[in-house]
Amino acid sequence: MMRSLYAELQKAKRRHDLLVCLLIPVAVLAWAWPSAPGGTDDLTTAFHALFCSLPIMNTVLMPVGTAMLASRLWDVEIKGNFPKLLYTLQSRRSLFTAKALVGTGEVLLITALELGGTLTLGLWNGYKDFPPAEQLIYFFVCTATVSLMLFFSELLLTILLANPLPALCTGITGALVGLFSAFMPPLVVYFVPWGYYIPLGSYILVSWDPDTRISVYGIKEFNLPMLLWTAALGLFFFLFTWRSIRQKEV
Amino acid sequence: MLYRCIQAENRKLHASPIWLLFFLLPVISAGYGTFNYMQNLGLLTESWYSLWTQHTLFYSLFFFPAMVAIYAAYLWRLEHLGHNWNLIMAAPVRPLALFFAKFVVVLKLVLLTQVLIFALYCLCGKVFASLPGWPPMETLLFLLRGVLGGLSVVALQLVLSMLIRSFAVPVFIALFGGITGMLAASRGKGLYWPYALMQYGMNSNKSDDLLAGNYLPFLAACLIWLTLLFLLAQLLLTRRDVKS
Repeated sequence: MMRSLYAELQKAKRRHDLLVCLLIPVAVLAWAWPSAPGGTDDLTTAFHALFCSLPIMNTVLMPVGTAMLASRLWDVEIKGNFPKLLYTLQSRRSLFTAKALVGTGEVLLITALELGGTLTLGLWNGYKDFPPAEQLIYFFVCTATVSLMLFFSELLLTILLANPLPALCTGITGALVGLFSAFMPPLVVYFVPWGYYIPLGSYILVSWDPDTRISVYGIKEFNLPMLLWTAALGLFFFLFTWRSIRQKEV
Repeated sequence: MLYRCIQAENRKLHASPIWLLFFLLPVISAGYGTFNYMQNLGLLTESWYSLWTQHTLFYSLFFFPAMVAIYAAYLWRLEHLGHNWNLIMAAPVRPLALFFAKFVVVLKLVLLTQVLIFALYCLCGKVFASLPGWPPMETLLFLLRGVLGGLSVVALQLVLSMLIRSFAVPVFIALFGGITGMLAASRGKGLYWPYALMQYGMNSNKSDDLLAGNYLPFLAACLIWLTLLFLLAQLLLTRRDVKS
């Protein structure tokens, strides 16, 4: 197992995966930085505003970002026509476990960097409403869970169809549908897994006055049933991916 | 020889899954745009123009660059497999002709996408929104300007997909590019950034014409970016050693 993991890490190093992992939080922060409150804005609710907009940014970027990670993990084997070799030379369990661990590690790293970058951005701008620890943990767990669910669904597509194109097309279409679901009636978002970042977010916009342009933000209760549903969906994709690797013909 | 290169690139699109994306994105964009327009009739009072903004806002901001990136990456993918780089660079064709053929084929897809966008816009406007008359001629002009602005995105994505062997990374870079384009356009610096040009052309987020009286700088920016990217492609294809 450790040898398989080491081999995957070596492949990731050669593919410059760390750089790719950095690209996603950089994209989120590059978007958040200019739109984040600052200067003469009200800094007492600035972190609220920032954490309210992050799920929308994640809905646009993460379906494509996770599709990129998933397709790179398997595309390296397709390009070299290696699955035949790997399926016969090593156990399928160790192959899948190593790939799943590397992918999970990448998603967790991206989520941690995004959260760390957001907090740094807030502190840099002098925001006064630093989020409580439980909110930070909840944000991290929710973002990581949705991203992992998307990652395994896209890894499944890449493995089943032996091509990175369907996963990326699904990622882009999912991002578009997820973004639209944010502006649809609240019920719609529950049927769009790519947009699950939005109903799981605890920071919400309570009201916005178009005349004074004053926004009021609030914190809603943790949506634990939705989080459990997302985790269950992620587990389903994980098991289905494992099944597809186990049953793949050589 | 260029014609043969174009034919070869066209052949790659036969029965390709790319056509699914080609139909799906504009249909979703039109469906959402019409729904949102119908829900906000009190706020969106400019009839066909308002429907235009709802149909094309997210498409031109985020998803046009990503879609073009998929088209470009798909056409370069075959070259990155096996030792195909050696094969094409040894073919009796000028290297830039290879690049130009891919450019023509992606441009064809972009034109078809724009036509589909417009057809769906007319259909939804008449059938679902029951708007009076026909779409204003300006919207056709916006489409054409969108294609002009999109030329540099096509060239840039082809250069990126040529350089980066991964299929997925240029697609994510394009999505990121769309976001930076949106930020550049909102600060009035859109002419300096290729990803913002298409957004300027499509006039998706305002009822007032973003380019009113500014056609010359826009056309100059499109031309300069396109020339620079073709020169870069020529330089890379002729001076850089092949890695296969």
